[in-house]
Parts: sequence; structure tokens; C-alpha cells
Amino acid sequence: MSTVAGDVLAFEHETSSRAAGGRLEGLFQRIVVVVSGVTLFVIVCCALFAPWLAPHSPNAVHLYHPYSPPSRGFLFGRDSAGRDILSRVIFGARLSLLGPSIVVGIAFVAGVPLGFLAAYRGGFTDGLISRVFDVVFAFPPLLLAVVIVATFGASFQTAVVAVAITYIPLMGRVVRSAALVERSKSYVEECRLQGYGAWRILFAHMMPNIARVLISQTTLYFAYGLLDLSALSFLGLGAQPPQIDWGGMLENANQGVFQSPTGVVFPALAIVLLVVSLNFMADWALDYEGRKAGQR
Amino acid sequence: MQAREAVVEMLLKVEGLYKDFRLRSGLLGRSSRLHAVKNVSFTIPASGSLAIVGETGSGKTTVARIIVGLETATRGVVEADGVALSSSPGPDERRRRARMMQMVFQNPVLSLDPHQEIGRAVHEVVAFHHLRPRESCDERVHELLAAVGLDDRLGASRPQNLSGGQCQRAAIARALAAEPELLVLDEPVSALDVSTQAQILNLLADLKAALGISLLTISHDLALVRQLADDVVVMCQGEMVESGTVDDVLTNPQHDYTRRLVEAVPEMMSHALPVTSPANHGGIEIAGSAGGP
Amino acid sequence: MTSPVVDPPTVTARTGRTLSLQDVTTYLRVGKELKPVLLRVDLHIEPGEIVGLVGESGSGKSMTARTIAGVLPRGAVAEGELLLDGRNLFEMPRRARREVQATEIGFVFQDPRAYIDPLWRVGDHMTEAMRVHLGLSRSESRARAIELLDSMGIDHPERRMHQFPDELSGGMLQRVMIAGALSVDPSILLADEATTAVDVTTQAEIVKLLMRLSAERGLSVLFITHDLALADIVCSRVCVMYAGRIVEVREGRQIFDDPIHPYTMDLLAARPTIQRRVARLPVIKGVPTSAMDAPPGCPFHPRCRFALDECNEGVPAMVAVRGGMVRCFRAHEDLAALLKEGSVASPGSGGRDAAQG
Repeated sequence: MSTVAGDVLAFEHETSSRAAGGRLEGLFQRIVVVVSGVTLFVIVCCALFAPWLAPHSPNAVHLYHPYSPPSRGFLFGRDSAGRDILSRVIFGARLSLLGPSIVVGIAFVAGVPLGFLAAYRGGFTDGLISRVFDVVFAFPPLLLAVVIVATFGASFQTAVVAVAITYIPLMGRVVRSAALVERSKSYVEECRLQGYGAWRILFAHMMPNIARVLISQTTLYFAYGLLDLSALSFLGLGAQPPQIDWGGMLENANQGVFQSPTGVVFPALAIVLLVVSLNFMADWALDYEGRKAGQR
Repeated sequence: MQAREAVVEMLLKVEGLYKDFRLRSGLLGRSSRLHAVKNVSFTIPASGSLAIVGETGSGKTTVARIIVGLETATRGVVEADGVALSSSPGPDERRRRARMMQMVFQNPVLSLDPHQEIGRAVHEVVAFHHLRPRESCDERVHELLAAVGLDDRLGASRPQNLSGGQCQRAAIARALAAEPELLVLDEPVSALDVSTQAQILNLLADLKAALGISLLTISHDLALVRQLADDVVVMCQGEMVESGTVDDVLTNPQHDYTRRLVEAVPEMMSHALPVTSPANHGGIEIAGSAGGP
Repeated sequence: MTSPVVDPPTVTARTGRTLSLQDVTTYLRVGKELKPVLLRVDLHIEPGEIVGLVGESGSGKSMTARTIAGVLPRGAVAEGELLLDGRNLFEMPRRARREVQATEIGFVFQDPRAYIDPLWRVGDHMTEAMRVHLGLSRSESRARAIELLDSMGIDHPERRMHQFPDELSGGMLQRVMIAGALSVDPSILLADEATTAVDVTTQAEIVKLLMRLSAERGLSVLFITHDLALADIVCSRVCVMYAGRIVEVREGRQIFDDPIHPYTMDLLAARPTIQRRVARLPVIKGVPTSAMDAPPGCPFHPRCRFALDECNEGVPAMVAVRGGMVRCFRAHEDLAALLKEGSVASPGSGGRDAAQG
């Protein structure tokens, strides 16, 4: 309750509602986290060990068996060119993990320093950076990505860079807000008093305290990045054949959806599973870290 | 630790300090000026202890922040050791100023980096100012923690795991690590329990005696000021209304405002009010006003 | 604006209510366990009385207020009896109890800005309780609110109603909060460190306001503070709490001049006084504990100058001594004299005389 009394003992803080909640809630949560963890693990394994896990070559074409329903040798059925959907899903995990990772990486490397700089310097620097962000924000992100890709030619690389560009201001804004909050705290003022340089203050002191926000944002952007990249691939603007990613599979399966729904269902399911598992895991990780930090 | 030699000249001199804040109000952003500090001047001798007393809006905290360099003065001079301090110091300037004066903040837990163990925080200051060769930095940290009465093992703790009193000690240790001549204390004990307050006040008095540092205390608490300071400046709405030795000002306040402040302290209030009890409340006469800002 | 002098025969005290806590123990849920924060608290407030509750962190003073008002954290459990004019609130069905707590008990906190909605105007804050609990119409509640603000000596009450909280100074806001708490005409006001965050001159005014209200309206006040000197002048009775228990209860001004419990003595001595400087403030060793961390036996004994072996063995009962109640095995001895003799380590006796040492 009172935030003034320095020697406030632990019990005076509100006890977490999750701790006070019923056992059923906790059990459900634990099941969800475990399942999510396993799902992520499976997907990563698919990406790493695809050649050994996939029953067929993902690009092996069987033109006489388009849109085959699931059968013994082809568990998920076959797509419009007779290729094994299961193998394609497994191989597709590679780009589907790589793409968003690069998007997030670029957003992080560009967005974080810009956000910090804007928050720390304030004034003109902040104004300039924020306006640049605003300009990028003014465009609907997917549309902007489409325009960039259309200009520079469709490929996995351009798609990734295009999406990353739309995420830089997002990351930058979030970092800027969090940094502004930290900057007004006494401990940062004390660092300035000592004469510490801006970089030391930002990275040695402020960064670890903003880490939670950064982690949660990064995970979110990974998930959204995957969705955006899949959308681009669906439009034919992403990875081009023979590269395989789940969004591209959706584009391919779109025409034959009534003949062979498996072509749509399984790649879509893969996307959903990855995004949802990632969110649950990130949620749990933040919760865990938050609870650990809150304990005395 | 050695005591510094007594110096005759003033350690800190503040002259004609003014600070205006520009405020925006209304939809059209009409700006007005808030005169937070108006013509404040005082001096602090080496090994001296001055307190600035006032209520909210008096400008006392702004004065302290200007002195340490967290705010820029609109007008006026701050001199330390005879050298005028720059209004907008760069990092190098700040570094030099940090060797001269340090600040202890009001909320001890928030003034420490939540992610840094307090031992490391103190170590960082020692290493940053190159005050010891690398090998003896750790030893110096032990010395400092001991000087403020903190057990060595607590050096590995983070602020959230320490009590308010322990955090304030850590903050003092960190301030002393830079070996300053002046310690600026902004409401140093107001966020602490009564029993802890006494410990910190004793500690500050001990450190002052042992090291010869000067203290500049900002507080609204007159009893604390009596205990800790030799001289006092009373501020009201940005202006200095009275100054002098603590004994003089608090025992014989000259200015009306100072008198009101002294009379409002609970111990002094007892003279103005009779005992209230259920049997008695039919016949109470209550003096004084009940209105105001 | 000056407050009126109250003539003896014409006090229009409305019939107030008696609030009584009997053997109240409150537990908080920590993880999976229930841990105590209040232990067997007995407290009695007559109509028109101002009773002080003094303690440091962990003493349980805020928890006492929260138990009375029914605003404990989730999972907390309270035992014992909470009697309002003889009716036990703990035994009432939940809805009825909440209704009683909302209309009979007013609550003022230390830092109003942390609890109120900054986007609501003062008028909205003040009329909400009246409209919800008393069923008054918008105009009726507005009129009443303005009347209340005026009676508290707040200038330009109509204008204040339209202002946002951040347009008011801390002291003014606190006065508005008190007016809001009183808008449903409660019989009891719980003031939890209500003056801690305001200037000392505003504190003096608010305190005088509370005293006037209790005299004029028969309002009972539970005045919670860490400042023993303040409680001493404001309250007709002061209770000192430590580790979830009440350890001393004294009438009138006695607690400042003649504290009996060792903790009270130490608390008074540790505080600097405006009247003189002492060479060294007497310090109570250790830190204050809460009920859940208290050692067996008397909760204060590890820090007590006068501790004996028997203090380890059981919690002392409250005994009547010199017109007050004290929870100490050595209550009947003249501990202050022992201190002066020097037969006990470290100085620290009485409030105004702590000039030695």
C-alpha cells in the first residue's frame, strides 16, 4: 500500500492473484506451457533435422498425383504438383523460423539504439527520430512491405528486409517509452551525477532494467513477423520456389482447397502452432522472471 | 580514513540563484513562467552543515539540484572551492564535480540500480574515478561498506532485497566512494522508519566528524534539522525568508513564516490545543484557521 | 476562515456509533499459507473519540484499518469480532457487510493521488459514493458536496468541484478526500497516515479540522500514524502497535510524558526534537518485525533493553498500569528509573528529557 515507508515488509505488497488462485488454474497453465514447449521443440527439430525427418524429398514432383488425399506413404496428402505435403511442412520450418528471426534481429539492432538515443538525448534528436518513425508508421505495414518487394523483386531476402523495416519503428517506439521511464528515476540521475558517459548509462544501467519489455516485444514481433512473411509468401512476394515456406504453401494450395483441404490445413496449422506456442512460452518466461524478481 | 584539514574559505558559495520554469497551459499552449527559485544566496564552510528548510513548492529541492548539476540555473553563480561551476556541465565536468560533491536521494531503494548488487555499484564509482589501483578496488569497497555499517555479505544483494535503511546506507557508501567534500542530502530519512532514521542520522553525524565533509540537508522536518545542521536557510515560495544558525532561527524565529512552521510541529502544537476526550468535547475551544490553499 | 468556538451546551453531536474490535486476528495469504499480520487486537472507539494507532512498518496499523474497512488483499482471513454498535460485521452476509462498511466507515489514505482517478473531476469523486450508496440524485449529491466542501473551509467550492485532482495542492486534495469520505455521513473515519504526505502547516490544519469534526458531529476517528508526538496531541487515546499486537494504550497526553512499554520509550527517544540537539540519538537495535516474523514470546524482546529470560517464554497479557494498559512482563516496575540509574544498557527514557547520552 504505502510506498513511502522504506522498510516495507514483503507482506504489505498485494499478493499475486495467480498465487492466490485455485489449483486448477495453475495446473491448466502448466499443461499449456509444457505443450507449447514441446511444440516449439518439435518445430525446431524439424528445421534442424529436416533431411532426416522428412519421408520424401520436398521438391519431388509427381504430376500424375496432384491433390492426393492422405495415404500411407504421404501422411498429409500431396499438393498440386504431387509433392508430399508433410515433407514440405517439415522443410518449411527452416525458412519459417529463419525469416522471423532475421526480421526481429534487424528490428532489434536498428530499433534499440535509435529508441535509446531518442529517449536519452531528447530535444532535437528525439524529434528527428520520432518523426522518421512516424513517417514509416503512416504506411500500413504490409502494404509498405509489398511496395518494397514489388520494387526490388520478390525473394526471401527482400521480403525479410521489407518486413523488418516496418518493425524498426515499432521496436524503437517501445524502447523509447521504456527508456524515458527509466531515465526519470533517481538511479539514472545519480549515474549522470557521477559523470558516467551516455553509453555506460544506457547499456550497463538502463538496459538490464528494460530487458523484460524487450523480451516480450521481441517475442511478439517474431510471431507477427512470421504472419507478415507468410502473408507476403501467400501473395507470391516472398520465398520463391524451390524455397519452401508455409505461406508459399498456402498460396499453392489455395486453388485446390476443395479438392485437397490438407494442402491448406497443415501449413496453416503449423503457422498457428508456432505463433501460439511462442506466445505462451514468452508469457510464462516473463511471469517466471517477474515472480523471481519480486521475491525477497 | 583521514580527516581533511580545515580550510578557512567557504567550501560552497551560492549567490543570486534564480530558476524559472516555463509552463504550458491551455489548448493554445500559452506559456507562463514559474519562478521556482528567487535570489537565493548562502555559503557553506568546510566541515559545515547547512540545512534548507521549506514546504512543498518552496524551491529547496530545485536549489539542491542546481548545485549538483541536475538543473540549470536561470541566473546566479554556484562556486565550489572558489571555482564557479558551469551551468550545463558535460560528462567530464560532471566527473570533476562528482569528486567534489555527491547527492543522497530521498527514496533509497529507487536511487540504486535495481539490477546491480550494491557492492558492484560502489565498486563502479571507485573504479570510474580511478581512485584505487585495480587490485585494491575490492578492498576499498569493503572499507566503505564497513564505514556505513553494512555487513560485507550484503554487498552481493540487490536493492529490492534490502531494507530501506540498508539501501540508504548503501547510497551513502556509494556517495562516499567518490571522496567528495560535500554531501547533498535530499530528505535523506523521510522514507524510513523512526528507528532507522535515528541510525542514519547518527551515521551522518559520525561521518561528518570523522571525514570532515560538509553536509547540505534539504528537509521539511525541523526536528531533523535541529539535530543535523549548524546553520539553516528557510525558504518559502522560492525566496529565502530567514537564515542564521539553527539555534537562533528555531528558538527565536524572526519571520512570520518561520514562526508558523515552528508552531506547526506537533511538539510545539501541544501548547495551542487542550486535551480532547469524550467527556470533554462539549467544551473545546479550537484556535487557528481551518482554511487555506 | 476561522473555525467557530464551540460553546459547552450547544454541541449538536449526532448520535455516533461505537466501534469495537475484539480479539481480532487477521491472516494474509502468502503463497499457499496463511500468515498472521494482526494478533488478537482489542480496540474500542466511542462516538466522538479520536483514537490513535501508532506503529512502524510491520506493526499492523494499516492492516487494522483495512480489516475494519473490509479491504484486505485476496485470500486474507479475519477472525474475532468487529462490532459496530454491538452488531458483529464479520458474521453478516457479505453484501450486507459491504454495504455497512461503505456507508458507515470512511477511509482516507496517505497518498490520494495514488488511488484516485486523475481523469475524474473532484465533483465526480465526491458525488459517486452518495449516488451509489445513498441513492441521491445528481443535483442533490452535488449540492451536498458543495456544502461539505464549504464546511471544511475550502474556498470556492463550486469551482473546486470542476477541477481535476492535479490542479489541487496535496493539502487541498487531502481535505477534499476527507470531504468525500464524509459525504455518506459515516460514523467512523479511518485516517491512515492521512497527514504524512502533506506539509507540516497543512498537517496542523487538517488535524484541527478532524478534531472539530469529531467534536461537532460525534464523528469517531481512528488516527493512524507513525508519529507518536502527533498522535499524542490529536488523540484522546493512543494505542501503540508492534508486530501485529497492541502493546500500550494510554489516555490523553500520558503517552508522551510517561511511556511505560520499553518500545514506546525507545520510539520516543529515537526521534530528534526541535527543542535541542543531542550528541547521539538513542537507537533501538535491530529492525521492526511484523507478526509473521516475530520470535516466540514477547515480540519485542530481542530488541528490548529490559529483556529477561521469561520474555522468551510467552506473550505478555495486557495489564493495567498507571491509568493505561501495557503488554509487558515488567510493566509494574519503574523502568524509567532503572534507566536513569544506569543499571540498564544505553540511554533513552521518556520523550522530552532525552538529552543525555
